[in-house]
Amino acid sequence: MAGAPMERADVVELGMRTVADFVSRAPGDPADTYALRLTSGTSGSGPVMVVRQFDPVQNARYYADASDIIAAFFGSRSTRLTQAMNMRKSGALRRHMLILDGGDVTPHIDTLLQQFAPDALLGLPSVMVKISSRMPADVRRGVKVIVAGGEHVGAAAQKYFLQQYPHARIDTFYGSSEVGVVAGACPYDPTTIYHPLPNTFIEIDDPDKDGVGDILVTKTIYRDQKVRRYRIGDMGKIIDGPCRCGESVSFEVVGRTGYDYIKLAGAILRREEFDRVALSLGEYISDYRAEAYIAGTVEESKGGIILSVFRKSSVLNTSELEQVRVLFAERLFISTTLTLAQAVLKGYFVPLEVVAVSQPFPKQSKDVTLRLRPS
Amino acid sequence: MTGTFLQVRSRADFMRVALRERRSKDEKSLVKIVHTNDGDFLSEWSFDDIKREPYGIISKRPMVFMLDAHEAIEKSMWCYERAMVPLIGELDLDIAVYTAEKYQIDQLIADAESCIKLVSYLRSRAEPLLAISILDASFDPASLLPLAPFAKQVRLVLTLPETGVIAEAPLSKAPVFSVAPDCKIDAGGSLVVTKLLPLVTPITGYDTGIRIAVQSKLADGSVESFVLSDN
Repeated sequence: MAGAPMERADVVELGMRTVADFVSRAPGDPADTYALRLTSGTSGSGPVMVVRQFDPVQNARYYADASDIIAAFFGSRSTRLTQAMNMRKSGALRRHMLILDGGDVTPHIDTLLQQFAPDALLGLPSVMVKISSRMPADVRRGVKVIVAGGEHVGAAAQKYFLQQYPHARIDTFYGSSEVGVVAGACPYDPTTIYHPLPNTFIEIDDPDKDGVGDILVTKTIYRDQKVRRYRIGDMGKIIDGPCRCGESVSFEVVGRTGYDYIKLAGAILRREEFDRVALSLGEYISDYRAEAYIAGTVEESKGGIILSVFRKSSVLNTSELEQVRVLFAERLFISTTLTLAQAVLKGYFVPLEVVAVSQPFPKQSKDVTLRLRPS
Repeated sequence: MTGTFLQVRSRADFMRVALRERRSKDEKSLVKIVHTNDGDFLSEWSFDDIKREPYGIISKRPMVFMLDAHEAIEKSMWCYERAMVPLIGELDLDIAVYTAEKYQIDQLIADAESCIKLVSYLRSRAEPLLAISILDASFDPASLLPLAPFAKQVRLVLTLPETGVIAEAPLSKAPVFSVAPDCKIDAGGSLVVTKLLPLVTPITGYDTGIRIAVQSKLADGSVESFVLSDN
């Protein structure tokens, strides 16, 4: 597909055009078709305000088996409202939706969740993980479907859900607030492989040797207004060949550009890999934040990582910090064959820096544990 | 629906009786968490019931701006049920104002505190809104009177999350509330309300704890109009 990719600033402008158009000539039946959406998130730029059309066909599949539904909060209120409207427009006569807010997690939440007893969960996987710890075990056993979206569902989260919700199947969707749902998950691999929705086109921009690059999306969002080759902010790869489910186009989402998946100094830093190593060092690490940066000179740039660690029981002492520094570097793979420790020896990276923090990291709607420092 | 149905007469009953035991009908609905100083409880509203409440007026571009996220979503759904596409205000005031300007709102539905936050924006508008509907359980007219120039009408809508609209009054120094349609109010020590149309959790002889002074009564002895008491 030709034409330079649309960037977020272009979509901000497009969004404003949809709003202006809607204000000036509201269509005949606006309430049944349209929603005002506002983005939020980790992309680091301003909000996008856009008028979008509902997609009840796409969303109906998520409610097929469920009657009581919890929608974990998605961040923006406009997203939560869209979920309520999607449920309203779904075919079933009886559905009950409880849309949770951060302020709802009080000492009473366990009792309330017990009363509501959902059989489906819908929302950000990170938030569902947090709420799960407050959901009684018998309630969790009653959950039949978990629909996760808005964030990448990693292997750790998937494993967690399967353990905590033993009778639930997991489904995911892929998209963003500004463009809506772009793809549905493959039933054979619902947290990794996606298939574009009808009339939605996916490309990968500037793929590396593994085929990974920026995901570009083309679809109509409002009347005749399209996002064309929109750089949605995630990295992915096209999967060759038809899928065993029968779909002809498949792609994998690797993670958020600059957060879940960072290319640096020839290495690939993946948040999942950081999570794995942090888990293996559980006696030292309760939570962490990692910041990657470009070190060295322009002529000889290297990669650098600063790891901030928090331990609930006590602050790490000097000797323990050194243990973490050595072990983390030895265990962290930054390519299929190279660990961080090896990369330091080869001169690709500067030695890992580890800092102990005495307070828990502030909780946000989307916890960003790995980030690339802007250069 | 469960075989056992238990009546609720006060907030203590909402907290004591599980949701499924006070669900009198099974329709497509939103469930919300109501936070109080004495505890939290679930309140369920069917979309049909939400539609019937007089939360706002009919306009083209309403904005719903409420501190409580559950109330914001429910009142926004009211807009949809009344064939209006709402702007649901985000908590961040700058973003709320920005979006209100872009959407060129013509109506505001908000709680009292949220309304006051928007005074600078309302003052900046070239035209008054069609209406401001202030949904709350108590009102300080003195703090709300400055809103009067910003809309053609300012409605004080006496509302509890679990009962919906009880009464409303035009904004004034000493507002006199008229009982809402499909509502019956009796007053002993406090306002006792019955919603005449069946809600998911029916409100029948429900003691709100709101103190009122009766101004006039109907032929059947129920309250027709009242003012809110301070104690």
